[in-house]
Amino acid sequence: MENLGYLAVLLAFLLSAYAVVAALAGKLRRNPFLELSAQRAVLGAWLMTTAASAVLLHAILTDDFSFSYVASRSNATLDLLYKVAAWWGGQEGSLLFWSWIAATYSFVAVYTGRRKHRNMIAYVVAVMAATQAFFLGLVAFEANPFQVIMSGPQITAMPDGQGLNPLLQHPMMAIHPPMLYLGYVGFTVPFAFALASLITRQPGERWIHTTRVWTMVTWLFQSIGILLGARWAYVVLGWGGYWGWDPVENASLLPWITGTAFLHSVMMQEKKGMMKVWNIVLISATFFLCIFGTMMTRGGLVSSVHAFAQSEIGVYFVWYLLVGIAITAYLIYTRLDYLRSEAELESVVSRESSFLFNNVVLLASCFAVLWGTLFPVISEYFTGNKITVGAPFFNKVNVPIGLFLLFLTGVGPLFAWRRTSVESLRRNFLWPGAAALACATVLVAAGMRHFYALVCFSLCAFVTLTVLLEFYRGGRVIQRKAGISLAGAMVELTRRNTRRYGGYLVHMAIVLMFVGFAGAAFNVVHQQELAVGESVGVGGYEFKLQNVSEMDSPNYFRAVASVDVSRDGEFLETMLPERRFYHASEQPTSRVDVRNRLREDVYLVYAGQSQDGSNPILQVYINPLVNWIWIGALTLVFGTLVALLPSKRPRRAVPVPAPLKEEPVAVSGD
Amino acid sequence: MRFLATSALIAFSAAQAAAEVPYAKLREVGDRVSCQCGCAYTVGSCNMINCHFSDPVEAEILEGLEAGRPEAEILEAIYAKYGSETRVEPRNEGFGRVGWIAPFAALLAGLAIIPWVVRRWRGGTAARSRAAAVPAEVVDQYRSRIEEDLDELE
Repeated sequence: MENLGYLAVLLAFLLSAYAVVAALAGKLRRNPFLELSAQRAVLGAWLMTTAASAVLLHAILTDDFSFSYVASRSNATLDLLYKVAAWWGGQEGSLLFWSWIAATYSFVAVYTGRRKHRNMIAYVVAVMAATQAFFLGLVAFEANPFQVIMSGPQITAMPDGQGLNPLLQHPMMAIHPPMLYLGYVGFTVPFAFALASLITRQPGERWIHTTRVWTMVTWLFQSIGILLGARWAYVVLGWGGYWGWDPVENASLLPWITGTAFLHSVMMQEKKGMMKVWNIVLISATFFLCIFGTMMTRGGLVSSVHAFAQSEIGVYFVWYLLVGIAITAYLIYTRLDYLRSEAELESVVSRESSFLFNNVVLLASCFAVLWGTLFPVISEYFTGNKITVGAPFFNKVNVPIGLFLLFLTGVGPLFAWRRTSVESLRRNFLWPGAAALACATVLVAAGMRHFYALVCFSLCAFVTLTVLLEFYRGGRVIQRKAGISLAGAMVELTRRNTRRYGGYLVHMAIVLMFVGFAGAAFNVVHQQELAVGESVGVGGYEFKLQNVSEMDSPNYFRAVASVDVSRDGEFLETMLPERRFYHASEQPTSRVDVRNRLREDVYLVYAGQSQDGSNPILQVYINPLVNWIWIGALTLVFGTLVALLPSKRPRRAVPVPAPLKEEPVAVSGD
Repeated sequence: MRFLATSALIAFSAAQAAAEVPYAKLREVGDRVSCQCGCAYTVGSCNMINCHFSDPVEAEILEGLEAGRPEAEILEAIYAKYGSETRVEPRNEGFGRVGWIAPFAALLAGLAIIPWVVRRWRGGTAARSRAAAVPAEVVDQYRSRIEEDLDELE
């Protein structure tokens, strides 16, 4: 089996490499057969990668511990879900998983776009297959998951595996990596189309129209991956937080930020023919940051709790990045004439300017995260002394930038395309501004003194009102014309322009998340050793330890603390934080118990045992508003899905004066 | 196996168990020291059982707080003893200052570029307007149409 798997990887690598050469040669020599064979090679590479993945999965699911990878990442008593997760739980398997997703994306992108984009599909094939070949090359020659355990000339098998890292044995962790990978790899598609468009000097914005859905779906996967990771950190790592500014967490955030900037600036190109160079730069940066992020987990560039075993493959990533960036920069430089903007800016006070601001601030935020992540490396290079950077640095730098971005989220929709009159500004800012002011006044009067939290809540009120007014104003017009309820009119409004109003829903999701982030300013934490029958009061709650039970299972031993939680004398529920000890890996972990409420979470951790081993030590966290983050996450998914739906055509078109082809601002695509 | 498991669950030092200083304070100071056990978190947040680094450092912090020493003094002593890599943020001096300034400098540079970009775009518009020579009545018709649409939306 191991030979079959390795053979499939080798063939997939060769087919991908062939696809690159055949696609380029076919295009240059004007040989359609070569181009076609390149497309077929993409299909072949996908089949081979699928076969290799099937072999590895089969080995994992059948507990074939003669495979070194299976023996080190799985064990016989592991649940089925986590056995599947073992596929991407280690360096070699995750690279194969990456390759398989890349091959699947290539196959789908090429076979859905080959007729529509005859002129440039060969270059799309070349770019995607080159990326695929790079990863398959790593799997084939540096991180082979099909290595077997040898004892002398014989293949031997271990009686049982070492098991999957206990921290990864959580349902969230079974979904989080695939989502993140779908995001990372997915950005290859818009990048490939962008590059192909650049090479062939395609007229118009065709590549943007074609890749819009790809980009949004990929961005959605990336968002879900990041948020699931945050949720996993919250419920598994047991330190009471959801974002630790770990280098690998940061690495996933970087392409998300540039991808978000791209999703905004691309509207400028679609509507105004502006920012063409910028969009190419942004999508290229997003793609290369995805590769960079993948390198961060594997290359040993920085130390991280998420990183796979340190290996030597980082140098290949560096070369890949250098070559890729050089080619992209050359193509952009030599085609600047083709990318010339069809400039149409009339006023600084316009939607166009707000997009510029939005992009600049997003990029600054991206730079701040990248700078902090690499600062230990940079400082060591320049001074010989590694200066470490942790969460306090990132919070101090990114909180003000984040709040500025939140402000722009609200301001952007208040500006009209081309020019905004003073009267319009006054009208549009009046209610949101008043809401922000009222919010700040009420909070100060209520005793809130935390500056950033105060600013954040006020801006949340501001943005919420701008979004609601957008729905209300548009809904009122439809309500008057169609004679339906306001709620029905708002739904109709959204259906008529899903992209614009789906986008507003995503803005609303960001607001909800910022409410949750601001809540962290008021977290309460307490730690106490408790004997059975003893209780402790924290943040208005009373925690009474009822008992500690111990249980053993084939996979792990666990101690569960049964804690009654009450408030104002009223019993609320029994919480069950636990401590586990995994037999195979001999690693202990904690399983926190969380009481989720809109107002605040009660977060209980079985932190350890007193020195004599008789009593548990419990950590209690009262985390206000944290649930708003997860509600925001669901809203973000919903909003993006709405934006992905095709807009419904209104029954009666609004008449437009003959010489002017543009649609009225309020109902045009946004 | 149970013995092994129970042993592994013995996590915290005597210093933690006997803490008289509010835990929140201990955590706050502990979060200013980067843990070196490989967890990539702070001493306050590290949840490794019997961590070789965070447990003794936390005991030192507790001892300092119980003795009434200022936080800054406790932290400087820890940084001096365990090395600069235990800091969670750069010092505001030397190359560390570059670390603090660079993100905001990048933001300011970006914002400073915007007027230049806008000027270029506006220049392009003026040139195009001259070249295209759109009749004034068409422009007026367009503007009035937009105003009507906006009024309708109100």
